[in-house]
Amino acid sequence: MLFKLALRNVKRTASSYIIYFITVALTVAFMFAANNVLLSDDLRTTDAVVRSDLGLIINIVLAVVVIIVGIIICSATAYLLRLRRREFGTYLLLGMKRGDVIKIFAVEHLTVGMVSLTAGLILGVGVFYAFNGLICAVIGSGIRPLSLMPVPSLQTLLEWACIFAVALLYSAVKLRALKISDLVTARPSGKRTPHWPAVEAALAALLLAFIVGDFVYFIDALGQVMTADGWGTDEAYMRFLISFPACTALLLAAVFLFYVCMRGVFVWRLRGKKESTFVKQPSGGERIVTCVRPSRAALKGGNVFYYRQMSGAMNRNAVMMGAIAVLLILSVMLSDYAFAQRYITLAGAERPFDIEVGWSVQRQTEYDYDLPDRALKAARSYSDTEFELLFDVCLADEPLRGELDLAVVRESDMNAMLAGAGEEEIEVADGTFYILYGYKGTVVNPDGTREEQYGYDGHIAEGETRVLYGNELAFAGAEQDGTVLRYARGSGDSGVIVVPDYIVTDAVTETYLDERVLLLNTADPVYSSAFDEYADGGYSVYVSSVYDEIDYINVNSSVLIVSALLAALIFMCISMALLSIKAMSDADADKKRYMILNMLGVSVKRQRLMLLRQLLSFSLLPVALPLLSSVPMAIIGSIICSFYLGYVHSAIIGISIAVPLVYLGIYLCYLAATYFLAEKTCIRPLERTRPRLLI
Amino acid sequence: MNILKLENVVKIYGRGGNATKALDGVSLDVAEGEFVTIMGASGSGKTTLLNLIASIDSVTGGTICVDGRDITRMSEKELADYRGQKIGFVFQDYNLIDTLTVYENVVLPLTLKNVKPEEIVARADDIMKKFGIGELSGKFPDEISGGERQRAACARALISSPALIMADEPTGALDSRNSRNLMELLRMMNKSFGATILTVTHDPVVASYASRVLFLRDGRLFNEIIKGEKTDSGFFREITDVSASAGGQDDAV
Ligand SMILES: Nc1ncnc2c1ncn2[C@@H]1O[C@H](COP(=O)(O)OP(=O)(O)OP(=O)(O)O)[C@@H](O)[C@H]1O
Ligand SMILES: [Mg+2]
Repeated sequence: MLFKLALRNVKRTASSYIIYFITVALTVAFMFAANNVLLSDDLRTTDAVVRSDLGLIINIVLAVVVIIVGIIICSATAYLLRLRRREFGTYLLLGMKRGDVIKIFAVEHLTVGMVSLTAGLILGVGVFYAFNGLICAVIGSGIRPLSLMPVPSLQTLLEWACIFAVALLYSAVKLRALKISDLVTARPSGKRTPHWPAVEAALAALLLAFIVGDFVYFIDALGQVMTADGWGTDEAYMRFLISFPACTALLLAAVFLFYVCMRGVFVWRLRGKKESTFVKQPSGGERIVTCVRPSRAALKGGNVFYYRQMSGAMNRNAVMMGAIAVLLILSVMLSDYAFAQRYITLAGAERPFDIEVGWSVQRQTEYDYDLPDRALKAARSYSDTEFELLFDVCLADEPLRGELDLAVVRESDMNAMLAGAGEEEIEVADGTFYILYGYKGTVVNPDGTREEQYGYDGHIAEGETRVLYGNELAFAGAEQDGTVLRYARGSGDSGVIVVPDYIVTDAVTETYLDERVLLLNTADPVYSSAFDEYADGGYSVYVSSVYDEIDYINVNSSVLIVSALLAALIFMCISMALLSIKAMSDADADKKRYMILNMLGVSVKRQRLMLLRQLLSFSLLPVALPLLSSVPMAIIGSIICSFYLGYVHSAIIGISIAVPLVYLGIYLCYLAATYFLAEKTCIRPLERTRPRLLI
Repeated sequence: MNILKLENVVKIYGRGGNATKALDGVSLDVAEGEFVTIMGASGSGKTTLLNLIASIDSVTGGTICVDGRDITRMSEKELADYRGQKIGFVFQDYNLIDTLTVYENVVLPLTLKNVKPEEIVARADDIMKKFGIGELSGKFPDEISGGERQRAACARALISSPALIMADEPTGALDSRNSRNLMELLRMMNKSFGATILTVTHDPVVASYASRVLFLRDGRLFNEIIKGEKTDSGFFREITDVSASAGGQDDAV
């Protein structure tokens, strides 16, 4: 009996349950997909995830999402309960036991819950493959396609079992606490108007200014610390460190309060001036009568109705709107950040040579001179090479070594390197030497003081001679070049002495060889592990492959992107669901109002327009600021990007346009569904009350 | 010239075994500038009749012509215009919009028609004073009494000076003084503006303001009294007699 009644109720209140169903199904789908991606063993054991703290970040994101979803489902459940308090009150009045009423609600709710959960899981499989596709196709080679796993799937089910249980418990407690009188006489829906509409309107304007100011301040702080020549001063750095959390917290608080205050704006727009007049009383004497007229703006084209509807809706849902705006702003920021960091780090990984292997000679053992050649041959077997260079870096001999602590490289090797990096070659005539030196570095003087110095201080005059490996060479000049020097390892970035090829004989390398360096550009990825078997032979080996780094970035950023998208999509979903549920329940109350309008001669078409205007204002307001926040986010992204890369990656601008557009698109779809339902509730029945038997 | 012409109007609610025949072939002519009252027992179809004329409900059969145009064949848009331009309707259950203040409710028909704000204010102040609800302007419908609500509903119906005013038991919730005020006001609208008035009432005193009283029983018109040259008291006595024989007085709640 109870079950039947519950089922019938579900059918009757289908429209509010539709929203609930869509929300639960979508949220389940996203959580299922994200759990399967983020908790998969494949990903968890990836080097990149193990190396960084991503595992922790993933856990935090997943936990936060579960908590927020739990809270929302609880409030949605309580809300559905409140919608029907009168009905439940009547059951109680008719002598039904409280437990039975709770049972009805529980059965009803679980039925819808199970159906939504099932739909969500089915949809989730699709979303999972979409996520997978996104990761594999867009993100690149870093990740193999993942497969569905039982553990994450079960975890999703378990999470939802908990969420449903808590939501039911919560509503059972609420239902038990309610008195019959409360249930039967549905209480008026809160205060009708804010007490100080003008103050709230002014506050809203102030808060808007504050939000803009907050962004400006943060952007300024960021600009100060991320200057063109590196991290700014210590004060700037401190200011940045403080302003980042402070600005974020203040921004979110201001956004929340802004929406809470927005309710005053409509009442303030509505309210005209009061006018008091003296009125003669029939009993003699006079009395002051105050007339409250609407403002001129409100008297135009049915605006009174619109303003009242809006202020009512905003007033009832002020807190919810604030919360939604905060969630949405977080969504936009998270997705902006997740995508931006990927493009910035990937572009930052770009370098002239894909692979660099350095074999440093360890003096105490014999070394295998041919080992690097064998490694080069092996590399060729992995991939076609577009550039290859194997060269020697030697130590200078005394006394030049005492004067200039720089490595020695053959002219042909250095020019090949410069050509490979797309730089201008240098000319070193026979009998001369040339110096290429790197960026400034810190030098510790013997007395312990520190000094910023170039690798070469310019103390040798052109034409002066020095002796190297028994040859007298004239100084031909020096030039600064930081890009290429990091590949001539040995002496680090400080600089190299470039000499004609004939100077570095086999006998010289026999004694003075410090390092052999292999530089490669390959057509296909060759990972550093390919050189593992060439890491012996009396050398200490340094291997760096850009492909390792790209993989690392790809794994990292795909995890970040999936986490951000999960959070963002779920926040979106939840926000839209809340808005729709509220809009729907408002629509129920609006039904009578629109019917009266119709009786007063407002055509159905005009009613639809009025409903649309009301719904659009109500639903677009909380997304307006979050979507607009993409503009300052683009500026922030540009500053960070030009700091790390030296230029603004076009993707940063692309993202900050695409992210809000995509969200707006999703949002508009949802809005269309809500409008359709609200229209059905508010406006259709009027037509239905006039059966068109004759027409 | 007949402003209103009903021919064989039938209204059946529901379908099959559940059907209620609320109106069973009502034919009626109302001339321009007439003041007509409809009386009848509860459930006799008075509200149904007014709703049909106001195009809030659609007929099952028959025609209703207003100004020579058949409203049963009008499109939805034309009907809305008709309701907005031609008629003023006072509902039995007031139908004030709960989220609007009394003032806003009263001016609503004018603001929907994009009348100039100055004119709206002038007309609203005038009519609200006439109905004695000026001091309620800032209150909401659920903060005022039933009688005040009724007066607000009347003010809303009359503010746009419609050609055809329909009122469903407009004095139902009013004391005798306010009842008289309202009827005087309707009479004034009738006399000075030539508005045609159609009211429903159970109260013979109220009915005696009319120039013609129609009696409904089980969805049919069964009697009519015309004031003509009759004295007020004679007219009143005739109304009480007929309504007693119709059972209206006894059944009225
Ligand atoms: N929407 C409806 N659906 C079904 N039956 C209806 C509907 N509205 C009215 N009725 C029936 O039609 C008949 C006439 O109703 P109507 O409201 O016209 O009576 P009335 O004369 O106005 O009564 P009262 O004096 O009580 O207001 C009644 O029997 C009523 O039950
Ligand atoms: Mg009635």
